Amino acid sequence: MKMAMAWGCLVPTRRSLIGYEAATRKVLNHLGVETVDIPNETCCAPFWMQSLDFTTSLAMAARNLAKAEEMGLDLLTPCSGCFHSYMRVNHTYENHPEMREKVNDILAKADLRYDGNVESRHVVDFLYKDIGVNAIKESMKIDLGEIEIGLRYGCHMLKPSDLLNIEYSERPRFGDELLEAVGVRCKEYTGRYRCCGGLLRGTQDDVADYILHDRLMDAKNANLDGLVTVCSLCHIQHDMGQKSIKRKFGIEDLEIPVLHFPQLLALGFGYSAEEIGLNLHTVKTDGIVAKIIAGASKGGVKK
Amino acid sequence: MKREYHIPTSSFTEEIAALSGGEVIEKCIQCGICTASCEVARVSERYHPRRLIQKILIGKRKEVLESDLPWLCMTCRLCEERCQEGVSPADIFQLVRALAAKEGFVPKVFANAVDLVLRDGWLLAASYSDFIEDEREGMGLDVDLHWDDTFVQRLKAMFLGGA
Repeated sequence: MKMAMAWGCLVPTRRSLIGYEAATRKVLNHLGVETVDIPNETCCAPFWMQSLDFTTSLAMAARNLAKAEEMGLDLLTPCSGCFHSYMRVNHTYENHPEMREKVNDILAKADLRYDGNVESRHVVDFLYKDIGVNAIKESMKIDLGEIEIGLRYGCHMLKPSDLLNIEYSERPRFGDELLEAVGVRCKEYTGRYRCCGGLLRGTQDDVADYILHDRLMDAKNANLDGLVTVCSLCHIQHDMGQKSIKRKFGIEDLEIPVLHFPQLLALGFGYSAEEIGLNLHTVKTDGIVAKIIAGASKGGVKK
Repeated sequence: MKREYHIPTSSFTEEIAALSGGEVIEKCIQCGICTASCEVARVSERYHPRRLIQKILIGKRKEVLESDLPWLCMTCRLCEERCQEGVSPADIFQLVRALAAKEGFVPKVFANAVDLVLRDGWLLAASYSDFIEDEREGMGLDVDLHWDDTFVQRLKAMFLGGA
């Protein structure tokens, strides 16, 4: 299996997100998935860009899809925002065929053409559906059974469900199912499925702070060993934003480690915390890693 | 006795309904499940999606287009999933923002964010300074990110012209 990777602009460039890229590469490699980066990837034109000029924003996303189409590969991305932008292109192609030529007129400026033949996938959905729970379970070297985490799906990987076509329920299960299969205990807690405020970070910081405060308090009250995210914005908020919430709202004992979904799997595959960038996270992850290692040394090592 | 119904409508509603994806606005029954589902509405006194849709329905065109409220939707789309009438406030506000942008009303912070993308070719490129290249190298990742802004530069005029 070979996929064209679109990393987006946040994952490769934020200190606490680089490990998301490293872990995703290692996990895919470990599971036998060959990857090739989309050459000279460009912005997917998210959110506000789409308001300014919908056709041009589609063309920006379609540029990366065109590169994948040239290589004859489907596209895989770890970023929920990018995933949404790419899905929007094919959806528009199918429902408004007149847009195809409009988009292609713009792509022609870069000597490209996109005919709608690339399927776009989100890494977590790909792991669950294409690799499968059993194959992942069999690749595990360390039992992750000592920890209890809160898995956050975020918003943009799943909604709107008729566009993104993964699963919609107010309580999605597929990610929990995968982690539970490798021993992780996923806790149900209030606020777990609610928005983190990430999309207003940088433009409406007060609103983003108040929402994040509520999400972090939800997690704190749930007594978790850590949070696990699949969305870059969720991670920036919960990990990088945690210190400022602690200060702004005067919460002394707020210290919740935040791991990315593939980082947790990578630990189970036997990679070290440093290899997957856990030491670069803003909130220290030593505690949860030590708990996993301690559990493994008690006889949890599987192979 | 003849029953009378009030069907809220306005020329602004018709303008939105005439746009692709905007038709659904006429199905809004103002039940408020959108506001009840909204994280922004929970922490903000100003942004309530039901109220904003109501302003469109009763024709407050100028007030809505000049306001920053349509820009505060985070597109989490929980309201859209829950709406029994199939209304998507996120899509409606996107159309409203497109109209506002055409008429020159883009709130400054959002205009700045978009300008940065058009300048850098990437969202939040300033975040590049957030890590040191050694950290990528240390994990065996490519230090050169191969960012390409030439395509976006070519599209810049289209965005700013609102084509």
